[in-house]
Amino acid sequence: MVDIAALPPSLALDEPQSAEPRSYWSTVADRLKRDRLTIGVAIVLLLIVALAIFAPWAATHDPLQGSVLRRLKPVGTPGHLLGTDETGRDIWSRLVYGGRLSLVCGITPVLLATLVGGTLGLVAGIGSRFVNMLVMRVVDVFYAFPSVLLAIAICGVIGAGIGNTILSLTIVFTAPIVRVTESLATQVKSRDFVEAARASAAPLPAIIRYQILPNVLGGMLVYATSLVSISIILSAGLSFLGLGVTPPNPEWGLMLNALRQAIFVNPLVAALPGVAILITSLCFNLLSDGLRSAMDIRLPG
Amino acid sequence: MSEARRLLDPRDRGGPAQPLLLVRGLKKHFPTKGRFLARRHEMVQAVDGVSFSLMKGTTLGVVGESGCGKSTTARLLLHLIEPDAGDIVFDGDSVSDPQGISVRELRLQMQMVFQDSYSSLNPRATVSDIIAFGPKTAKKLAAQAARERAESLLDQVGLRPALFARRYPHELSGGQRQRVNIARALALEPRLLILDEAVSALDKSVEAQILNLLADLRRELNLTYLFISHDLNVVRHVSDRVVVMYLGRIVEAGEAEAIFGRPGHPYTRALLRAMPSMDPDYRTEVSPLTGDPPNPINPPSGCRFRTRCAFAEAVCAQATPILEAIGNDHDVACHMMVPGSSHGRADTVAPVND
Repeated sequence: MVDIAALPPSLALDEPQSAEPRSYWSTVADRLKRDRLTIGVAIVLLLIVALAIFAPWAATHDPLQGSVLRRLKPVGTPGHLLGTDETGRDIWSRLVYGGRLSLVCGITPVLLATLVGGTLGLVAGIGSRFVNMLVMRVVDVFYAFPSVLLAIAICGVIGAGIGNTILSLTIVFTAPIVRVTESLATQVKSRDFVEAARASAAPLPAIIRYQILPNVLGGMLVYATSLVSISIILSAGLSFLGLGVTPPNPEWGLMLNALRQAIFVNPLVAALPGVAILITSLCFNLLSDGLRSAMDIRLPG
Repeated sequence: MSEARRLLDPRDRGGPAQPLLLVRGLKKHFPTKGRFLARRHEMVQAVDGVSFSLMKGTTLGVVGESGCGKSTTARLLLHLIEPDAGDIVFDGDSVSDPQGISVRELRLQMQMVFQDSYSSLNPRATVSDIIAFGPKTAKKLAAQAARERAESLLDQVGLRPALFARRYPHELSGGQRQRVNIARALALEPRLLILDEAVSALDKSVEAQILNLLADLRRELNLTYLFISHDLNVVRHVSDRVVVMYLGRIVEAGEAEAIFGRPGHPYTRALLRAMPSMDPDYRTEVSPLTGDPPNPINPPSGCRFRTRCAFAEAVCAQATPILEAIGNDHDVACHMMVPGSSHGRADTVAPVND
């Protein structure tokens, strides 16, 4: 007799199933591999990162060496394919070298904030009501200031420089990551499957690792990736205001600031650092979207 | 076979005469979410002094309206919620006794199947991982051994491992998910299974299949069931004994046939009259119970049912009725059933002969 309840919803009795066990993360990886857009975006990002890492080889000129004779050459000038800036430095070389600082300023604060904020958020979400109140009220203090203002204030107090930019952006991003993680963890904690795991006499670390983390990490990662583009733009903004990287070091925000006076003379060249910021942050946003849909295994993929 | 297993079960301590589970005066009052820094929190009296015993190899049904404390009782038994008072004795070992059974051991021997089959399965784990979780983490089984255990359990609950082990919960139907839930609960080889509305969310044909599966498993594994449900027909079908709860207290307890055949408490009678009749000549026309149960924050004094009881008198507000025997293994908490209480009907109510 056929047990109707034992039939899968699709009635696909002979659906091929390999004997190899699969886990959540391997399923997510399989789904990512089939997502062409996300793979493409990841390749572009890797290319940008590789250019920044191998800047000494990718650059055609010294990014700091200018020449009064070659000021503000347009795009397509022989020898300077992307033109030159207001002191005659090669834009391509500066963009490539600038990517180093911009990417570091974009990714490092988010990475640090995810570690700190994620841990705090998990503690607040899983911990007692008292712990939760303590963490979340402290976080609320940081929410009282607009993020740009907070970053400027912190940088203004501790001084300009790349290390301080990273520190101030880390502080700015920690608060929203704590909040996102806390709300995800609180939601997951109240679900029956966590209660079932507790009822199975499993130790707390195992419950956090196998039951809570896979359900929190997805949302957290997606949110963090979307912050990378904000971080690049914010650090560019800080440099623009003279609080981040100091000239003559190449950095996309700083380049944008310096070239802004040339916008009527040579608008295409003046826009190039902005284009670099745009492409990079767009890639991170698309990557974040791809990650989101790969991790939501209920969606067909 | 079941007799042989019972004798062979190395975990059995007191023999068949000793209840597997003995609950005494279980109590849980939840503070309401008061205003910040509120001076006094109001208490929701979710479970207020519940006592019962559960014999080995039997099924105890727990019935009552929503919000009467059935699910809270289940969670208190597993210490998923810490009880305010009361004791749980598992096969002679008390949880409150330092020399007795630990909460960890208690959970290994007592497992629960939840009502919401979707919410109770981790959406980001495969069926195999869900079932293997307990053996792997609580019993420290190697990954491979835990996976094999999961597959044999899947087989036992009627799901082909080759087809289902690698699936995710959202790829299963409601009945299949509940089978996975049962397999997960069985993974730690418990002796007692708490079924908290385990079949209530399923449609009737699937419900019947799951009930048959539960009956088979009970025989094969010599399990004891605590069957919580609001569905009286199902409770009558599966239970040996039944307790009726109202607003956090037990109002009637006894053998299923006694409760359904000769209900003593007015609340039980009202519940039974509210059951849809299968005979069109005997329709349930007037609703025997009106309104909702009173607010458990401020329950009525004395008998908690008196505000909805047709026979309520002055004594019902003054004295809290306690469970008194009205027959062989049949207890009722109602002043009417106690000859000599100052209730007007106490002496006219014919004693029930069991």
